[in-house]
Amino acid sequence: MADKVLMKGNEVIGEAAVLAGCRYYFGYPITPQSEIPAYLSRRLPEVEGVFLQAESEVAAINMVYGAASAGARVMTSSSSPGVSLKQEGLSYIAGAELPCVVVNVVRGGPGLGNISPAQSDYWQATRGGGHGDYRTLVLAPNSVQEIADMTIAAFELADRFRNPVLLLVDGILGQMMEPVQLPAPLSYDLNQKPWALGNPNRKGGRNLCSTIFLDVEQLEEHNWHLYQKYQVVTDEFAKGAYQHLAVETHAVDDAEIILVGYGIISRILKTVVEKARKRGIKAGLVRPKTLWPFPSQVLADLAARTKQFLVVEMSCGQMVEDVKLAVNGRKPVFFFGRTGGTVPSDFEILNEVDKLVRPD
Amino acid sequence: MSQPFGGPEQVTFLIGGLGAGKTELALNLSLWNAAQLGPGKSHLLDLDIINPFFRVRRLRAALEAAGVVLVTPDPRVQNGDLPALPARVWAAFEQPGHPIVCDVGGGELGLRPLARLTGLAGRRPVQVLCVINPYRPGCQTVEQVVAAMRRYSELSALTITHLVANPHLAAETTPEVFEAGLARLRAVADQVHLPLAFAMMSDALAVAYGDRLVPAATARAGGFATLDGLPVFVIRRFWEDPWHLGCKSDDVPPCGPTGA
Repeated sequence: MADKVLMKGNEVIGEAAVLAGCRYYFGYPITPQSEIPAYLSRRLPEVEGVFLQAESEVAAINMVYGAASAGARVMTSSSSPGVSLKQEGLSYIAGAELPCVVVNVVRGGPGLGNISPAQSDYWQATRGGGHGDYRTLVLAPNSVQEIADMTIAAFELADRFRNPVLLLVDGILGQMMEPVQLPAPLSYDLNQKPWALGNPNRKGGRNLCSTIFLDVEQLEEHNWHLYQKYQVVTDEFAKGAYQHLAVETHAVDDAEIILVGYGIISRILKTVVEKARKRGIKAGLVRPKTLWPFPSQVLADLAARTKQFLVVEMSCGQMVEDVKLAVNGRKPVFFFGRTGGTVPSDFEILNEVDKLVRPD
Repeated sequence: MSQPFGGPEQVTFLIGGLGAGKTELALNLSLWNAAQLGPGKSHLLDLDIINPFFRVRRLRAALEAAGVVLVTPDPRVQNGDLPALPARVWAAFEQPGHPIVCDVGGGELGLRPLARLTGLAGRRPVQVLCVINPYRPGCQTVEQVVAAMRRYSELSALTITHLVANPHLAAETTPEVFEAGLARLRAVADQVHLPLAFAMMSDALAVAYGDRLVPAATARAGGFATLDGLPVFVIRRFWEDPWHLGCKSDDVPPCGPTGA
């Protein structure tokens, strides 16, 4: 107990990155994630790391591109409009198969929107966001403790698959404080990255990290190679290699209605499940913890047993499309959302559940 | 105690690091003052130019209903990140018999606005309370707290007169957590030769202490008491998470500047 610390989600992202061996951070301030660069501006020099406030988000993501090419563990963070600016660089990094961690503490959009918490960047995060055929892994924690654990996991996954990993955090999780047990520090071995420009033992000619393939056959071959890699990622998640990161279920065994939500919404939904059950409604919860690859099989299996699904998001409905793809028409999938920075209360969600279960 | 904190002329500046509990204390102190003096006298100055999420202005309706005079930026820009203070801040200092509590924003740069106000108190009594939670990063050891206090004083141009202990781990706070944190802050107070004004204690923890608080009724009602001789201020934590089971979810919105 005594070694727990009371930390903001944003602070924990910074500390966990340091514990994961990240020594390079490039970013630009934006509410509600500015505590990440503020924390790292003090913390990274303590471990002989590099903190740099770039002149823009575009510059920051390209600095990440450079550090990742060298084989370093590197991170950038921003909030929605800033993450939009990073999309070009993210496409390059994914195309060049480089590992990095990108944090989005999501605020209300589109455009400048406002600084309130939102979940309206689901499509941008899970569909690539930038141009070209590429994928990024997307982790969605729902507590400050899980932010610590998933930040570290993000660095491990990025190195494992030579791919950018996104940490999708809403503004509440970034700002709220909870007790956290910080994980043990990790290190990584540059020798395990034979492709890296910074690999001290590379043999023969120079390494090259690039996304340009002027020859059409070469580019097609490269794109299918990327596709195969994404298949490996999907298969490993489907086979349960990352079970602790993939999905959480709660009270689903006898559920007649299954609520689906990620991030902070999942905690409100847990309260809704308890309150619904006190009213005699058999409700359950599925919480995707990883948004890509999406835990489709869990939802597909439950579709055979439950009567209906209710997806709740702080958006006008984005993840609901993935739930519908997974359920594939076997059961009705309904949606309830609040947006613009409004967080739905357990009370109003419970009303929706009531209406669906007792339509009269 | 049945008078406003420090008396009706008291000017109270709250300083401390990000997430130390300054705003929780500002809310509870100004509500306490209003309860003692009646409506229209207890002034709460919102000087937060930093953190858009946990500002007292979000609770305007509840505070005004309780008789607190809330001085904030124009409500039309209350969700903005504007580094500007309203003129009514200056007017508040001209009203005798109206105690003032000044809350500032998160992060050490949030202390800067205080440097503009230091001369305003005139002949009124001033207390500068430094709020410390020894479970926050950067304030966990005696050395860290002493160094942090020096930075806070420099940034705010204020001399700290008292420490306020706020040892807690949110929902995981037990008497053991409270007392271990308190012991560290007593060591800080000894080292810097400053008095510990009081310790903040959530109403939930106060119930756990029960009869050890004197008077014991404070455990439920909130306000000032003593615990083994130590002054304790029993507070309500306004920023608790409403998604926890059993909470009053339609009471205070969980987060976000609009409170919509």
